Amino acid sequence: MDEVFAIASSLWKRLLGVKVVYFLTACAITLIAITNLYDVLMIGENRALMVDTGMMLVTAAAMLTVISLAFDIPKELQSGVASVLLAKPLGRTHYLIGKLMGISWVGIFITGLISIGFMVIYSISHGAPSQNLVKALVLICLSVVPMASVVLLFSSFLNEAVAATISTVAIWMGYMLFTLKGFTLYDLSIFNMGAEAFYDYEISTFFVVKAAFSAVLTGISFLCITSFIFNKRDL
Amino acid sequence: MSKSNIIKILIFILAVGLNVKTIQSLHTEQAEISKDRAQISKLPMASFHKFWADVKWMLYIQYMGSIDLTTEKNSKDLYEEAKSILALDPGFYKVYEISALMLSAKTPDYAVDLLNKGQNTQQNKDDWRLYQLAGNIRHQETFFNKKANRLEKIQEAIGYYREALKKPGVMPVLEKTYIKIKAQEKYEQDRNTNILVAELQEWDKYINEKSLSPEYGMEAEGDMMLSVDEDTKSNILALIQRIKKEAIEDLTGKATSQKLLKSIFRDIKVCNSCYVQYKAGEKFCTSCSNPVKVFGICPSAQCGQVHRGGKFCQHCGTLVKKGNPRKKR
Repeated sequence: MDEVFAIASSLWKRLLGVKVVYFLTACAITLIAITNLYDVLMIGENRALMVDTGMMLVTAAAMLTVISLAFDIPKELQSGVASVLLAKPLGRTHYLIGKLMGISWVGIFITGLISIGFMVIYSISHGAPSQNLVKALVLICLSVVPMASVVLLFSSFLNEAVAATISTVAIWMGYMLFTLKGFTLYDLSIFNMGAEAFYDYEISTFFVVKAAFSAVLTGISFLCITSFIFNKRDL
Repeated sequence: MSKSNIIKILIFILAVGLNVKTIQSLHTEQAEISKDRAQISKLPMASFHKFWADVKWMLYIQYMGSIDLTTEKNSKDLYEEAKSILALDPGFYKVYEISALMLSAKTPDYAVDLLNKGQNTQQNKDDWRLYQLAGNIRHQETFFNKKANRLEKIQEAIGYYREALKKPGVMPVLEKTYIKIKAQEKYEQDRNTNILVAELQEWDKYINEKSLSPEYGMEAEGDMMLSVDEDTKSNILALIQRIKKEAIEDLTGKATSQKLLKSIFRDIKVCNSCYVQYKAGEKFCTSCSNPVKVFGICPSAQCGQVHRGGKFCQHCGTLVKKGNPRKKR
């Protein structure tokens, strides 16, 4: 288990050590704050714009963060870092678990950071955010796990550019998979409750817990497939 | 097949099975939380439908601002654009309201269609303004659309106003519009009807209905006086006065006026000749100089002054009221 945490924390340190991450986070929070100036342009609907922009930016941050994994794994495989790592008494599955955990932590941290910034700005402009709004943001943060699982799968056997492109399409389409009525490996629409939160419809805590459970199950099922493919690869 | 692979397959099957059940249960819950979710466009826009609706709304406002005059053509464009925003966010109230106002002049059918859509959303189904606006548009057509079937449009407007009056937070002024248009309907059906009398009859019917029905949010328990606010009362009294002046011969008007004076105006005194309210101590009507029945005078022969109310006269201390038995409710 120590090896898994070592890989996860190495990814965490590497990604969060990049200063541009904080610059982009600050830009996202500034953009959310700017929406408050759209009062006249939106005919008084600037609260809607703020909430929707906030939700959109948190989701986009989650997407961008997990997509970085599509560059990380193929790069490690090409440069031989992964081969060195895997030469140690470390299973390939452990390596994948470490990567999935690491990117999920980073994703949740960055989305959490933007969410907190968003809630602070919202509180200043429109009063305390409702519990439902907070829950909707938590759901977006949780969506990092299934997104990361999808990217992990493609980056385990494709090169950087192809893995990143296909992962982006897969994540994008993941929000439309509700049409399959649950008969799917992953479904990102269950994490999209922004509109409901804006209209202050009651989102139960149990709903959030179930969504978190589904995120973990998606992670496990994708990890099984990825591990199966990754183990067959000749590194 | 190696043991680890068999374990992986078993874990995979278990995880997928459980996940399918969880996702299905979450979908059911989502549908229960928001009925409008089913109406959202199936366009592949990730989770950005609502954000895109906001962007389109801003563009829509710019487009509306660029229009000098609404024509059949740009009305159609506005209608289609409004529908495309609502497909992304069916709960967007401002789109229904502003689009309907823009479309009402040239293409009232489009405007009413949009408002009907709004009335079918979970977010706006209880918003009385959408019903009132639809009623106003249909009512407006009776004045400006010469080709329209007046009675049909009036009846449609009545339907919308009736729905609006059942919604929470409705403005009382809407009652007046509703009654006026109901009287207009009567007049359209029979041109010999006196529209003022028809209006008074509708008031009588409506107040009676309201006092008995909890649907209107009042619990007047059949007491007509308690189900009417002061503004409505002064409207009705003004109507009774007009009928007295302008339709003196109308027996229905007279009977309805008397009925209302005894029910909703039982707490005030009016002149028998012109139905103008008079105050305590007044001997003649200030409007028609007719002698009126004096009230509010101290019964003491030595005092005889007007008392302000209460149990005892404020001038001489004589007992004025001997425990006025009030109707028990």
